[in-house]
Amino acid sequence: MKRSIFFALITFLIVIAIQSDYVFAQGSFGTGFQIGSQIGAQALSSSANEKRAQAEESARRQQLIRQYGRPALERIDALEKDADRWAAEMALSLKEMREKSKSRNQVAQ
Amino acid sequence: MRIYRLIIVSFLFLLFTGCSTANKIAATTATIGEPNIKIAGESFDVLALDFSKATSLDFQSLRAQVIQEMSRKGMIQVNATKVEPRYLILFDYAVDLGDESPYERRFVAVTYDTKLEHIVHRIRVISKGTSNDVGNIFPPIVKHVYEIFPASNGFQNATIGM
Repeated sequence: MKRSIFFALITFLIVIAIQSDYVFAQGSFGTGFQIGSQIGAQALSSSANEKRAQAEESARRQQLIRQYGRPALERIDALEKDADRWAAEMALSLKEMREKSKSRNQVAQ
Repeated sequence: MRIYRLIIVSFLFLLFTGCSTANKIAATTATIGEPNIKIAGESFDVLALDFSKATSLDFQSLRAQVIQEMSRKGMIQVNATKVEPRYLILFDYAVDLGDESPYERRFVAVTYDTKLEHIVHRIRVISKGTSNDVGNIFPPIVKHVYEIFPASNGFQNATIGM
């Protein structure tokens, strides 16, 4: 009885830990789980499928890195620092756009 | 027999609690806002802070979500290329796609007042987690940001549901 309660408690803690993004974010549990799942995945997949999946994953990752990755993190910091300037420039360019469109309409009329 | 029953009950319990704790984002939100920002009945438009993302599907989807959340607060969306809105909302987002989890995710949004000609509200969300999927990560963050908008100055730690 005691052993089954212990077993249930341990299973409960493991499932909660691996399903919680927050716990993953803390590091150790997540890393352990990832290593385990990687070994499991490698054992299950055939090598051809694995290579193709790896190539696809690598291409996808490169595409994402270009669009959203580390350079994007650095860029977001720069944009945030200069947000006053970007917002003011955006407002000004929109104003110019509206004025041009207005004068075009007047000429057309 | 009793052990099996106990195990089945435990698994059902785990399934239930697992579902409720899965897909949560731990995030820290920093806000700098001027007091008494009037939003109800005011016009706005949403634009990309990073112009290179303006045409991306992710940006368009998040923009639609911001418009929806702001409209829910009684604000009126206009096309800023045709009519001058009271507020311009500019936002950007990025995730760390390094090889090691946890990945860092950031969301930044500013609200520019076209009458006062300066930014009246800034918000930054920083989060870390195992997922770096832009399509899954940012919609709940956007929802969180515009639910608390226009929050006053300060930091808050929140667990955001996906």
